[in-house]
Amino acid sequence: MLVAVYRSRTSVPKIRPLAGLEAIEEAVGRATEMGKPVLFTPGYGDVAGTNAAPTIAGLDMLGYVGRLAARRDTKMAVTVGHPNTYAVALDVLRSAYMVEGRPDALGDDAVTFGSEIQFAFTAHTLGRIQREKPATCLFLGYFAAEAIIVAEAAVAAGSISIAGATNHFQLPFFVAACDYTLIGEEFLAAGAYVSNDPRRIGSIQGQDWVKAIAVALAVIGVIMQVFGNKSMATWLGK
Amino acid sequence: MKRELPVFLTAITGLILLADYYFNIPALKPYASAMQNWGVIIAAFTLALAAANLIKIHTLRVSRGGRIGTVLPSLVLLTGLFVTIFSGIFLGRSSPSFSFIFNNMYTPLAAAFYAMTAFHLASASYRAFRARSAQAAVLLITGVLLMLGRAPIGETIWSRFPKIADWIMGVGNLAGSRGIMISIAVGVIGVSMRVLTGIDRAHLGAE
Amino acid sequence: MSIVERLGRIDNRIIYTVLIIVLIWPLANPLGLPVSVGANTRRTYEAIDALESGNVVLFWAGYSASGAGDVQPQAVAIARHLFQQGVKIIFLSDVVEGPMLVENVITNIPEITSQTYGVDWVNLGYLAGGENGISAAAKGLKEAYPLDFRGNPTESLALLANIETAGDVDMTVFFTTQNSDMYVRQVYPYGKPLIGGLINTIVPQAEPYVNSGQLTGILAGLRGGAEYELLMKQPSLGLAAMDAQSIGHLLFILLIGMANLAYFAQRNRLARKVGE
Repeated sequence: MLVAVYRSRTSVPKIRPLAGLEAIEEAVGRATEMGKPVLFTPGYGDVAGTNAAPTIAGLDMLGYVGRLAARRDTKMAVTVGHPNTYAVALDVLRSAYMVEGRPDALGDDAVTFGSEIQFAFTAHTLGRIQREKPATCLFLGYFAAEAIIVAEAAVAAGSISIAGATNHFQLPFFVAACDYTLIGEEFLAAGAYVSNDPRRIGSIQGQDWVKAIAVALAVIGVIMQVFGNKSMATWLGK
Repeated sequence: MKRELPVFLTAITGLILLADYYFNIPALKPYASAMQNWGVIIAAFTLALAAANLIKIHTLRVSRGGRIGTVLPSLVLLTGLFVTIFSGIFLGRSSPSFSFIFNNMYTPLAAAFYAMTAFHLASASYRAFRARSAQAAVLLITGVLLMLGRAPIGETIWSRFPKIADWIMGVGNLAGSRGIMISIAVGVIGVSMRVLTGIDRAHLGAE
Repeated sequence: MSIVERLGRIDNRIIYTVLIIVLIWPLANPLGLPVSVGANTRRTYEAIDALESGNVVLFWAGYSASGAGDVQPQAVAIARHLFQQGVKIIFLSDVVEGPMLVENVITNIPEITSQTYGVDWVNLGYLAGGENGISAAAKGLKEAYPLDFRGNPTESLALLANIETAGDVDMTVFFTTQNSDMYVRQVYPYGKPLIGGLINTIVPQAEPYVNSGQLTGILAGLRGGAEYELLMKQPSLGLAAMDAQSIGHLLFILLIGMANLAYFAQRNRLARKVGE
């Protein structure tokens, strides 16, 4: 990965287009035309700990969506489930509006902190969806069992919904209920994709190389196992 | 310096903890343990921060007044918060009042919310599980076989349903799960590496 | 629009009402459908049955109150089994409501009256930090928990006298509504058997670990708890809910069937229209 980041200084790799990402810009446009807000939530994860990766990826996307919303004068409604994430989300959104020259357009209640408790946060998000009836709901971050609840609430409110999560046992719920879903690594790469930062895009290429190595090791291990040699499995199991 | 110092601290902490996890270096163990204990203490304080944040937001909402629909939920929240804190701290966590609040108010409310997933799942399945294409039809049939295999009534209808469900979970689902888990794990390593090396600074707020 | 097509446009409120009735009715009028025991539950039962009197187990209550309906029957069944085996239990938690849920588990166990706190079992309480907390506790139990949930210094508890790390116990059992990865990453390296009681939705994530041997066994949701109660020959809440689960699943299948009938009827009607 470090090699890929280093190489990106001179040659930036191309990432294939992601349907969910391209739909985000259209979805924000839909909200602008309908005069309704965009609801965004990075889930109830923290920026530190086990759930940090999807939460940080979600905050990356918040910056991108914030800039789109500021450009089009579309109201943002952001719900978060951790005080650390609340502070960072507020900062990211303020900065996005500042970059677009619209610092005054961000409302006081744009970012709200519900609770650290999973279903209290879910109730908070549901409340905002049902009261504010957003045209677009973006669920990009860390979600657990509340995934289907918030996704269905978006459907009931008539919103277009785009989800991105790394909890692969919640992905089927998002796929069933949302219009677009960024699955696993696509979501983690999305932040790099929209940032246009060569180093971050380079690290995505590095991830692909690591995956290729993992697949190669798996295939070699299977062949060895078929012929009775368990040394690969033993070595990886240590 | 405002952004460089946190990046430096993140990198050092991450490297020490990673080295302690993967290698047995006795000299690093006290530092790694100390950092983990600091992490536990900081996490405990974020709970207090969460409570303080909630009190601040909802007190402001109540003090600003307005429609009863806006003020009442905040009042209910603040009342519940202070009553629970008071009974837990001053009367004790084993006291009848705290136990009553936990067992008869908090737990049923939390369980009710989780139970909503069943209803939303019903409406999502009804809306989404239609055989629009060959892949959707395969998903549909697999889902039905799995439901019949996992519920006791399925076994009553035909004894082979559980075996079919076990095969779907143990072979088909497992293969797909492993692939997604590996790619997600690699993605998480990528994000972590970017955070540790300071390439990703989203967690520090905006540039 | 034909009647068949209307089957695909049932209001959500009707679906929810029927679901409520269908779930409540078998709880009030049990059908007594037979429940078989799966391989995962059997493996878990045998692992715990192999423990000897005097062994010590770490019992990680990492499930929230919201998931207690799914996971608590498993926790109660396994705790009863452990006490019946004469095994000593160290209860701890990585979620805020964990210690209270442990107290709920304890009150549901008749065997607790013959157990001495501090000697046969302890409740260490909640440790903040999620996976970091799990790691800290596994690395140094008494360092991470200077006091237990009841305010006693952990150094004074007889049960913890020779327990420093997760490697000093004979088994770790965890119950979670979040994910099993954390426990596999932080506790499995200590080399002792690891068993997971999981909410249904995260079972597919844990199965690779069972396959690789990192998890000795898992219990899957409410059904896992029911199967364990069956093996223990001590029916309780888990088994009581199985009929409701069965009928609920049948309703789901019926709804999906109706939706697809309506879909194909509509598709055929539109195809005929285009043909005309």
